[in-house]
Amino acid sequence: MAVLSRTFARAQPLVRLQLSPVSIAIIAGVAVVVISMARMMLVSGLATTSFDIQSLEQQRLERLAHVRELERDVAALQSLDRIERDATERLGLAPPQERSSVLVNVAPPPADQQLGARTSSTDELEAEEQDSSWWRDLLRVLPF
Amino acid sequence: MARRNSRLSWRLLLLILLLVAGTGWIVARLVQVQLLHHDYYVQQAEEEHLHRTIVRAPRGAVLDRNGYPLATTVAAFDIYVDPRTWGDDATAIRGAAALAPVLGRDPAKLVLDVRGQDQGDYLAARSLDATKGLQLIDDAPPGVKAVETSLRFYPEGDVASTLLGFVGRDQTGLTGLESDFDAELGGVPAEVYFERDAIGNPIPFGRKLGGEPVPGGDVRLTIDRYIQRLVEIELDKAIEQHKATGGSVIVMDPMTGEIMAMASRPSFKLSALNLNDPAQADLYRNRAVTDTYPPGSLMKTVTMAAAIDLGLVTPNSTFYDSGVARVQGATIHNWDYSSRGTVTATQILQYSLNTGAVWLSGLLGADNFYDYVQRFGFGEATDVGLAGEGTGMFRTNTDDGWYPSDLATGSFGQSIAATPLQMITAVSALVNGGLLMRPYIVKEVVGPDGPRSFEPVVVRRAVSPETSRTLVEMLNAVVEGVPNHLARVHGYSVGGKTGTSTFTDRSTTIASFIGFAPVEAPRFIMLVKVDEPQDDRLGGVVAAPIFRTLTPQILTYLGVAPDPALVDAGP
Repeated sequence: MAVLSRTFARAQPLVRLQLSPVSIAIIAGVAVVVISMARMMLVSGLATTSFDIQSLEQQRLERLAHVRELERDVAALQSLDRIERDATERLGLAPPQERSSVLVNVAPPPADQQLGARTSSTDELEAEEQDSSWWRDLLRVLPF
Repeated sequence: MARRNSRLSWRLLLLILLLVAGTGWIVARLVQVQLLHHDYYVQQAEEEHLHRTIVRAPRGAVLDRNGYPLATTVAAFDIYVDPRTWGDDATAIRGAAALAPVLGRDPAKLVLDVRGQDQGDYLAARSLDATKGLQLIDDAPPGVKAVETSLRFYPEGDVASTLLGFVGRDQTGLTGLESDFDAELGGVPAEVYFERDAIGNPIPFGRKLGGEPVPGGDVRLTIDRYIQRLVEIELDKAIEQHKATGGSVIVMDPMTGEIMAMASRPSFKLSALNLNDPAQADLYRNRAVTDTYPPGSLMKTVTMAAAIDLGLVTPNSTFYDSGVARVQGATIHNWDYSSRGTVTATQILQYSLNTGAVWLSGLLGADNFYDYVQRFGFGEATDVGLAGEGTGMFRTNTDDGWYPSDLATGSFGQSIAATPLQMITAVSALVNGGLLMRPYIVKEVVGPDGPRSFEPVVVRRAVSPETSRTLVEMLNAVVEGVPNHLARVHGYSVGGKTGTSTFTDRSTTIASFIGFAPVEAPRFIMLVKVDEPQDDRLGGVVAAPIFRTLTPQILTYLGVAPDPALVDAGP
């Protein structure tokens, strides 16, 4: 049993790290400094980010205030008072003193010559409906 | 020696006991604080550290029918100064030099005011313009804080003030539509909790809990800003011209019940609102909806409609006007004390004969008359959706204290009280084919849940379509069949009826006119009411010209071309 123990001890020699109290104190000091630095950097980063967020929030508020300011300007510019003031002061217009009606006795053009601007989209839709192809029919049959 | 040791042991024992008791008490207290009352103390600590504040939701806008804003919210800033920062002379001078010009104040006086503040920050300006507020934020004068707030802005000035109403300093609607639709306009404020330091200031990196406020929705009205402005300008002119005490004008689409304009005077100016002035309190209500008045001869249209609807008369039925009608000892004269002899039913309306109306009420009988009065919506709210709406008042033959003379005088609108809105709603039913429509003023509410539209609502059928057509023709004859009628409009066919309400206790009158145009397909109906005009007392002289002035402008705006035949005929 004693032989076996000796053999085992020989095979795996124990490594002993012997540190002096000064070394331990230095290592501990370095660790404290590193941890402190890391924490300080973390806190500093957090503070910087927080300030950035605050600054961005402030910017957002200012932008919103600007937007509302612009909305107010738009509303003020399209107000009837302002339009009338511009018409009279800048353009030199005046309210009509009398109304004149002019009758235009022109017969409407034949139906085939009428401009279809207002109904063109409807016409196109109708034409599309009539121009039914097999794939269009298939699409209509599909349940989705 | 043994005795001495025994004494020491006793003292030591006492000390140990005291220490144990003290330690036990501390441990017990710790258990009590940390374990037993843990939640209570945590809550107290939270309340101490966390500050609750309400973040107001941006208020929605009130828009006209075309989407133009009549009332909207803009950004503003409340400006505060920290008196402690301005305790130092150099800082105060520097801060005041930057702040005072923006606020338009004297720097020296501003410093004195700030230093005179005992506690908290000094409020240097409330609801400062956003441009100036942002400038102050950029300049950042020492000790000056700009806190964002909001301000109600009225792009159209004082237009529709009684209708719109106003909001308080906390942006809550106090009167008018602002109050009636406060829930929709106000949105949902958010509760925000943040950590604060020992003196109550927010900790920059502290916890912040809470959501975002839900902005208020926009309310789109049926009111047209252009027509509203036209109406208010003409009403103000008429009140000034006739030295009247007030008046109302309502413009409505008779087919749908949409109110296109509603003005009432006296009213307040949104630009000069002073809630501390008790004299202004009487100006806040929308008299076109809240106040009742005897409609006078306008009521003859309803009496005539009832008689025609029951087949008792036709437009050509005749009646002999002796100038006087006697009802149970009471003598009723025509408004001009005239006697017209034999007249038709149409002429009863044209000459506005009180005796003719009394004759019609006799044909109808009390049961039928009051049945029709109620069918036309008198005596009940129109449910327009505006607060403080009057229901009107009249006695029927089933009420105590009713006399047959009530029926006679009611036939020409003297023993009946109605709001201007009730009156125009009733006559709309005569114009639109016989349907009593519910008037409405809000077209759409766009809230967080999406848009909510309001559609025309038919309350009931008041008269048959045939009766309606007949009344339209008769009312057209009232204006165009009478030479030099002051409601006649060149180029357009119009119909209408004058009204002059008299009172037993005073000599003044209420002059009114109700008219519609064009007769073939009415696009609008208008009620004009002028209270106590001083120079003339008749509706045909005071109120009808307002209709004549406004009608061509409104029809042109609505894109209704003049009738070529009427244009050729000349004015």
